[in-house]
Amino acid sequence: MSGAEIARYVAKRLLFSCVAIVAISVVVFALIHLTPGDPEHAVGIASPQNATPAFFHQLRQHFGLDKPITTQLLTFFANASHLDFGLSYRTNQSALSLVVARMGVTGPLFLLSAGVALVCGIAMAGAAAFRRGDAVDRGSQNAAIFMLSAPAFAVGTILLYCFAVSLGWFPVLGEGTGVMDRFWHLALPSITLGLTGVAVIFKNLRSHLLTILEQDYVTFARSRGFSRATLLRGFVLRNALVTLITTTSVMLVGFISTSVIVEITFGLDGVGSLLADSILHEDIPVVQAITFLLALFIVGLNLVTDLLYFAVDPRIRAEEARA
Amino acid sequence: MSFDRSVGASGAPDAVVAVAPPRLLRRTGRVSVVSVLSSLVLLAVAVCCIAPGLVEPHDPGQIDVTARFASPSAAHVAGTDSLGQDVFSRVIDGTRAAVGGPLVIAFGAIVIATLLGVLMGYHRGWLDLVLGRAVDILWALPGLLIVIVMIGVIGGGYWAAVAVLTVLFVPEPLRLVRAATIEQTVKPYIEATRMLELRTARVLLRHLLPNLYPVLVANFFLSFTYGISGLASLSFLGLGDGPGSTNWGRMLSENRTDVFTNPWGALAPALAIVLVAVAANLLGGALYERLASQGRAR
Repeated sequence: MSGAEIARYVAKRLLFSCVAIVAISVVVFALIHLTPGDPEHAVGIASPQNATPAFFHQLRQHFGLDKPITTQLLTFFANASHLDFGLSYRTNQSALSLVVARMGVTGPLFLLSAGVALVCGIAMAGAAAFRRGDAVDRGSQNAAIFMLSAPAFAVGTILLYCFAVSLGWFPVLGEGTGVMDRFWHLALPSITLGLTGVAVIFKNLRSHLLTILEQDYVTFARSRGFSRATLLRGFVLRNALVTLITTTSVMLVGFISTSVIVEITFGLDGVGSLLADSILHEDIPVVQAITFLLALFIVGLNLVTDLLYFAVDPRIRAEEARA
Repeated sequence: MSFDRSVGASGAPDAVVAVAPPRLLRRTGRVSVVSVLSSLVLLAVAVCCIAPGLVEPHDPGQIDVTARFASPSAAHVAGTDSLGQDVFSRVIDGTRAAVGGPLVIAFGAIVIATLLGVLMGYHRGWLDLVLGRAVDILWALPGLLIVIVMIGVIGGGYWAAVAVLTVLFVPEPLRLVRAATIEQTVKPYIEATRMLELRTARVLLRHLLPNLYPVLVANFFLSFTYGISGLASLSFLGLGDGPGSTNWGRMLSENRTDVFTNPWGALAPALAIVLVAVAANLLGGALYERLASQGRAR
């Protein structure tokens, strides 16, 4: 595998990402026209104080609303390319700065939830696969069904009541001040969001681990008397890594939707709750900013996933070289 | 036993009928506790949907400000909310909205997925390629977020959400139906139908489709579960039914602020959603295993 081939693969993926971003931009652009009534009407709903001629003038200017639709689209592309989404209908601030300010809550929430999901998911899948068919396996499968089907806001509310209201172990709402306090406030939300991920990781990893454990080379390694730990490290986990990477990326995409619900359930001022608020108040520039940035996140995530496959699995490298 | 219609080339129908009764008996003996409990929950749900008036101890809309935030008691099993309305009756009243839409979603998604999946898997070619790509793209998107943004920005309420969720739930069963169809197409009984020069529609409907039942049933329940969760989440965000409705998500979000005075106002709808969604998913899984092992036993 030469350097040129790696470069070709990366270039191919990057090109695909660019096409995806352009396609998504068109959809995000359309949001302003999909709102019932014209933008002035939406501003009136978002914030009556902002419904002034001066605000309308900058609005028409920024989006080029008086020009033909193709020019409007090009204006949107130009603005989006340097992440300028205009002023929020509600607060008169730049939409981007509002979103960026909320990332300090959503970022740590995603990281902690992913940590919870990966640790619990891998442990459960490993235990279930090695003890296929017995009580541990069946129990964790039913637990996964529970985590997959119960909606996050219901689970969050039940956890909130049990551990924060009744037992008082955790704070009830908000995100707290100082590092430890913030961490403490994020504990229950991260568990709620993480549980949805545990199910995803468990389901995919368990079935893949089972196929790996049935492979001849694993049977052979077992018959050579390797310990369970060596078996796991040397033969099983490395092969399971590709599945783990895919599932983690699927899980993170799922987190985007569920974090909206979780942030509202626990009263966190994150990107998700800002999105829900902005939608309810028809604050379209903020909705556009968030959907565009989330789309960038998803495209970036897919790019990283593809490149990680490449780094992790020599079989995929070989396949690409042949293609 | 609807499965035997697909026997066709592989066995004489008479023999199957002869062994059916003892096998059926043996099978009913192996019902797990989990399946029984799930079925009971869903049966209760059905009763609440068809005749909510029979089960509700109070009128769900009856406002009584003198009895606000009552704790659970014999008169009010789950207490009352901020308007003095009986929480338990309101949860029962909300069952129809909680499972009606999801039933439509699950049915719609499975029908669309079956039609397209069987055609894709049986004929392959350009249709398979084009639809396959479309499904890949839909698959990679955060479905619920799209519904939140679409319903929130464009509007349309409950039934618009049902329509969008139906489309978004097609990819998962579609992939599985397509894969199952491809798996069946290479089997001898399909080859036999080719030799007999049967019409394609007859082959697909009478011979291939019955073999897909396990996949279809399992995915019906799965889509139903996700539908419950998705629709309830939307109404929790205030994007489904209007304020004051008995929709479980809406009830929960409205009663959440009173969690210190009567926690049951929020806990009852939360538990109801979890119970129904988990029961449907567990029963779907159990039915799948049963139908799939039935297919294998033949």
